[in-house]
Amino acid sequence: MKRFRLSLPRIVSPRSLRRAGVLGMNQRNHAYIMRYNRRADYPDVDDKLRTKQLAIRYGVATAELIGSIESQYQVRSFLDLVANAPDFVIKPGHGSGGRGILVITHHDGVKFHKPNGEICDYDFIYEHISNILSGLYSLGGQVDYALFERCIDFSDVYSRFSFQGVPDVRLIVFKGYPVMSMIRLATKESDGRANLHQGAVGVGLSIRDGRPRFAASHNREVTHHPDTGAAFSELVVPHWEEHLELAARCAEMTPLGYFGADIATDRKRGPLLLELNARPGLAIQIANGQGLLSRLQLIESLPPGAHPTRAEKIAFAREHFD
Amino acid sequence: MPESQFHRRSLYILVALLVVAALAVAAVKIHFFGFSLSNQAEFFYQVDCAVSFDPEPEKPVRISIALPEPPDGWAFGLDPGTPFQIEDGNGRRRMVLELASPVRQNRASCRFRLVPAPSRRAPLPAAPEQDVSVVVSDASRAAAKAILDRVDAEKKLAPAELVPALLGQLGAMPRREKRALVPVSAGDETVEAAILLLELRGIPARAVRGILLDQKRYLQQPDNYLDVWYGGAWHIFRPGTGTEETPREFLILQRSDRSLYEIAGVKRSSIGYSVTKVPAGAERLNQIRAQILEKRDLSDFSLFSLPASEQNAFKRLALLPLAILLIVLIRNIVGIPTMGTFMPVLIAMAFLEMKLLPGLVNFVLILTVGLLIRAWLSKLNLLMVPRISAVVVVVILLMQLISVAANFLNFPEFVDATFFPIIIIAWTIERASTTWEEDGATNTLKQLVASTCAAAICYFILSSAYLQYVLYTFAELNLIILGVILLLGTYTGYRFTELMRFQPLVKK
Ligand SMILES: Nc1ncnc2c1ncn2[C@@H]1O[C@H](COP(=O)(O)OP(=O)(O)O)[C@@H](O)[C@H]1O
Ligand SMILES: [Mg+2]
Repeated sequence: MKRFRLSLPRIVSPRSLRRAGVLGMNQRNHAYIMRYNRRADYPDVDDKLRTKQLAIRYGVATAELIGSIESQYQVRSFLDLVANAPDFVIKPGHGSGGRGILVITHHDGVKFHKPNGEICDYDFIYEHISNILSGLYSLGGQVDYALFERCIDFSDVYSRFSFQGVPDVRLIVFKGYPVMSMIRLATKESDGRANLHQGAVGVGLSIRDGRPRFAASHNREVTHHPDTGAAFSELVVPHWEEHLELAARCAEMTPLGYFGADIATDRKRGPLLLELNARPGLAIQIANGQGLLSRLQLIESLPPGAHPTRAEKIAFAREHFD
Repeated sequence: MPESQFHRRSLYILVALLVVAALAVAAVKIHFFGFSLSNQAEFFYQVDCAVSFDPEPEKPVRISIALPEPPDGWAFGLDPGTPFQIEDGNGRRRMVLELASPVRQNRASCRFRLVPAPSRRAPLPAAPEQDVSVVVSDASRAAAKAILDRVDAEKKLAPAELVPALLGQLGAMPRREKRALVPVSAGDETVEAAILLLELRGIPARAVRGILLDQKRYLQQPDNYLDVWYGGAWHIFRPGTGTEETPREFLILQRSDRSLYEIAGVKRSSIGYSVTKVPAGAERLNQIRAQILEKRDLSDFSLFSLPASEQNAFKRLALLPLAILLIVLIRNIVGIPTMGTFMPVLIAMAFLEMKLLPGLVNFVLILTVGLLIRAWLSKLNLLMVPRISAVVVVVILLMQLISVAANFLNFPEFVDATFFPIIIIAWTIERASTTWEEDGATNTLKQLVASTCAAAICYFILSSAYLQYVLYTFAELNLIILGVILLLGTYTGYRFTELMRFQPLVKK
C-alpha cells in the first residue's frame, strides 16, 4: 500500500530557483538540446548498432558485439551467430524503455537459460527475433533489426543498495565535460526497474571522486534504501576515473553536444557503456540536491579551446563539480 | 550569441507586426464598417434551403417552396443573389424557380434572410376559426377519451400542462395505436393524434413543420411540431419530448394546409435547411464593397457570403486557435503533460456536440473499456498497425454499443457517442497502454486525468458564444494568437509545476 502524504505542495519562486542554478524543461529544450544537438545526429544514439560501431571505433568499452540480424531469412541461422558465445542478449535496434530485450545467461544450442531460471527453446527465440524485425518493439512500429551482444556480468558491488534490478550510472556530458552524475537504484516500489519516476532512488555522485553526495526518491531526500536499509553514504562506485574517461570519450564519437551516458559495471571488464540519451531528464538535479544550470553556464563561459584534451576537460570537471 | 539575438529580434518584430495588423484591421472594421464588439449587436439570419434532385431528361424543372413564416419581430426577404422568385399563385405566395430543359444541375439553393423588423411588428395572429368538421369514428373517439381520462380525468390541467402530458403519453404508445386514432391522416401520427385529442377538449391545434434558428446543427431537416392555440397566442411543441420551443427561435416553414415544396420534372428530390447568424456590420461591409466595385463576384469575397452551413463550420473553427493556445499554455507554461498534444482540443470539440457531462461520461467509459481490451490485445503480441487497427474497430463497436444501450435505456443525451474522433481515441488508448507498461499506472492515470481536465477547460472556451462571435467576426484577431504562440515558443522560464518539483533544491 502506498501512503499518501496530505501536505500541500510547497511552491518556490522562479527567482530562488534561478539563484539555485536549476535547469527547467523549457530552457533545457531551447538553450541546450535545440542549440547543441542537431536532429541529424540523433541516430548516433537512437540506433543501437550505430552507437556500438561508433563506440568500437573510438575505443569506448561496451558489451561485446556478437552481430545483428536484419531480415527474416537470416533468422533461422541465429544459432551460427551465438554458437561461440556462452551467453548473449538480443535487443531491438531502435527499442526503448527496455522493451524487447531478451537476456540469455547460458545455453547449449538447445536449451537457453534466462536470468530468472526459466528455460526457453529455439522456437521461442526464433519467434522473439521475428517480432523484433517486424517492429513490435520499435518506436512508431517501423521495421527494425535485432542486435546481439554479450551479456554484462553485473558486478555485485551494488547489491546491498538495490532491490533486484541492475544499477547504472548516468553521467550528463556537455561539450565533452562530464557535468553531473547519479546512480539509479531499483526499489520494491519501482518493481526492480531503475526508473526514478517509478520510485527508484537516485543517488547523486560527486564528479570529483564518485562519492555519494545526496539521495532522493520521489523528490524527497532519503538516507537509507527503503528495502535493504543500507545507508547510501556508504556507497562506493569503483573505477570512478574510468567512468569519467568513458563518458568523455563518448563526446568524441558523436557531434551531440549535450547528452546522457548510461554506464554499467561488468565484473571482469569494468565500466561499460550501456546506451546514450540525447534528451536526458532533469531529475538528476534532485538526486544531486543541486542545479545543473550553473554548471552548464560555467562550461559555456569558457573560451573556445580552453581544454583541448580529454584529460584536461576531466580535470577541470573534477575540480569544479563536486 | 549575436545570431540568436538576431533571430530573437526578428521574431519580436514579426509578432509586433502581427499584432498591429490585427488591431488595425479590427479598428477599421469597427469604425468604418459598423462591426460591433458586442454580440448583442444587430444581426440577421441567413437561411439556405438546398433542394437536391435527379432531373428527368428533356424536361424543364420547376421548384416551388412554401414561404416561411418568420417569428414575431422578424421580416422575411429573399437574398438578392438567389435565383428564386416570389410568385403569387391563387392567393398563396411561394418561392419559385424554373429551369429550362435540358437541366444540367442537380441542386438548387434558395437563400433568404430574416431581418429584424421591430417597427413593423407582425399583426397578432388571428384566433383560428373553430371548425368542428373533423369526422371521427366512434372507435377513435372512445380510444381518445380513454387517453384523455388517463392524463387528466378531472379536466383540471391548463393547456400549458395538458399538452406536454398528452405528448408524453402519446410518445410512450406504440405507433399502431396512434395510427388507430387517426386512420385517414398522412402526417406525423403523434402530432395528428394530439390534434384530435385537443380538439375533443376544444383547444385549437395544428401541425406545422419548421426548423430551429439556433445554429447547433449544420443541415436541418424540417421537423414536425404541434402548434397549439391558447392564451391568445400560438405555442409550438416538440412532439418527441413535449417541450415548448421558444417562438423567437423557431421558423415555421409550412402549415398543414400547404405543401412544403413541390417539384416537377425530376425523379427524386430532397430538401434541407441551414441557418446562420450574420452580424449586421458584415452586410454593410458587403454593400459598401459592392457599391465601390459594382461587381457582384468581388462583393462576395468574405466569409459571410458562404452558404450558411459552411459559415457554421467556420464558426466552430474560429475558436480553435484559442484552444490551441490554451494547450501551449498548459504544456509549456503550466507544465502539465497531456496524452497526445492536441488530443484535449479534439475531445473538447466532441464535448461541444454532446454537452459536457454526457460527453465526459461517454469518454471515460470508452477509454476504460478500450484500455481493458487493449491490455488483453497486448497479450496476443500483435504488430503495431494491426494492433492499433484492432483498437480502432473496438472503439467503433463500443460507440455503437453505447448509442444503442443509451437509446434503449432512454438517455437521449448519450446517443450521440459518434461525435468522438475515433482515431484520436484509439491512439489515446494505445499511448496510455504503452505508458502504463513503461511508466506505471499512477503516471498513466495522472496524464489521463490531466488530459481530460484540459479537454474540459477547452470545452468551456470553445462553448463561449461571445468569444465565438468575436473571433469569427474579427478573424484577424487570430494573428494576435499566432503571435502569442510564437512568443511562447521562445519562453525558457520555469514551468509552474517545476516550482513545486524543484522546490527541494532551494536551500533555506
Ligand atoms: N548486455 C547486457 N547484459 C545484461 N543486461 C543488459 C544488457 N544490455 C541491456 N541490459 C539490460 O536491459 C536494460 C535496458 O537496456 P538499454 O540498452 O538501456 O535499452 P533501452 O534503450 O531499451 O533502455 C538495461 O538497464 C539492463 O538491465
Ligand atoms: Mg535504457
